[in-house]
Amino acid sequence: MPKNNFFAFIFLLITACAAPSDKKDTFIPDNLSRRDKTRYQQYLIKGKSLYRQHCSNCHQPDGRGLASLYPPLAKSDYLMQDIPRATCISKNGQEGSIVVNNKEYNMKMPGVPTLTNLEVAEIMTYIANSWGNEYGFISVSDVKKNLENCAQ
Amino acid sequence: MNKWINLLTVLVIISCGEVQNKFELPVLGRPKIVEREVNGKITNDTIPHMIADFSFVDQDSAVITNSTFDGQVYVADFFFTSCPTICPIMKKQMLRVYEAFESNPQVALLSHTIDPEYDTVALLNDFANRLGIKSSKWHMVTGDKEKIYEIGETSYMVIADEDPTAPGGFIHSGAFLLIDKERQIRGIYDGTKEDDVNLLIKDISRLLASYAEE
Ligand code: HEC
Repeated sequence: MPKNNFFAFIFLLITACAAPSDKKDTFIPDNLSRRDKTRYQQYLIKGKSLYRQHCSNCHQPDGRGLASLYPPLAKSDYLMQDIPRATCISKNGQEGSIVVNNKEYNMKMPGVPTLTNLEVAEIMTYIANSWGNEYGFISVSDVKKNLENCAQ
Repeated sequence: MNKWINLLTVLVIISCGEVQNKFELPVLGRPKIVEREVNGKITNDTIPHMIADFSFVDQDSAVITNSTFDGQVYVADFFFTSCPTICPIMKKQMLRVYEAFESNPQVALLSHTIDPEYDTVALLNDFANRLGIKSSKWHMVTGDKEKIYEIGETSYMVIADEDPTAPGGFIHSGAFLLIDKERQIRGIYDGTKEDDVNLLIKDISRLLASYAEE
């Protein structure tokens, strides 16, 4: 299958280039089925590029945020304690005072309403499993369920 | 043959680099030519491009005018606090300029909001505090919208405009402008690129050195 080969090649290229820093930066859970494991890896890659496109201006490529303006996602208690809430924030944005890792933040984050559930799942999987965060796979059906329950 | 071309390129690069180091920074902008009558004869005067008079209000409610920067060189840019695209990157880069010259009273920074309706003095104050900067060094100004757009377009020659289709509702350039003590533009840099901002930091030192020589 030439198409599969092509993706395998791209995958290799990406992992080859990103390998040194990413390997220890990204959490790979070991309880996934083989099928989910492949999917998980794909989510991480797509999630990273979507993150660079939509989020890293503020939260920074290393997830550490900027001063007291933009909160960190790396080792963020606010993110890790409530993944459904973070899913809503990623798509719909957020406003008002919040406390992340004992520091207060209060700026408006615009949402990205054009993101599909798949894209949200990819971004969420990436941010919840990078820079020291260890949550595991976040699937499209998780995202669908979480987005249906967002506080308005 | 190829070797020669390579060698030539290297030589050109080296020599340009040297020339640049000694060279004065150019004065940018379109000079104005004005006709003047002297003893019945018409002569042409060339007036260099200068930043026009302005008066805005910064994050401490202080009035900021051209004379705020007397005896200083300053870096100007245009942004808005709710901007999701390039502004956060620009602010991160401007913070590098701030840190590089934090203790040098001859250097100041001037950020204009292009969304003054939303970016009030109180909001800019909060923004500046969160960024962790001193208002005496880095003025974040708001004011009359027309005046901000006008000075952006005609004095600093950057584009800023409302555009409902752009993310955040505005379209604008990420340029940083280096202004000398004579209100002239001496450099334009891409405030979203680390390399360009490195050059800006070097150019500020060079510009200051040119004053020290006088
Ligand atoms: C324009 C800057 C900006 C962009 C772009 C942005 N955010 Fe945010 N984000 C913020 C701010 C500011 C807050 C804090 C909001 C508050 O004060 O209520 C925040 C808060 C968060 C939080 C909760 C707090 C935390 O640190 O855990 C999460 C999760 C988050 N953002 C994820 C994302 C994701 C995912 C994207 C990309 C889809 C994104 N953000 C894009 C500025 C931004």
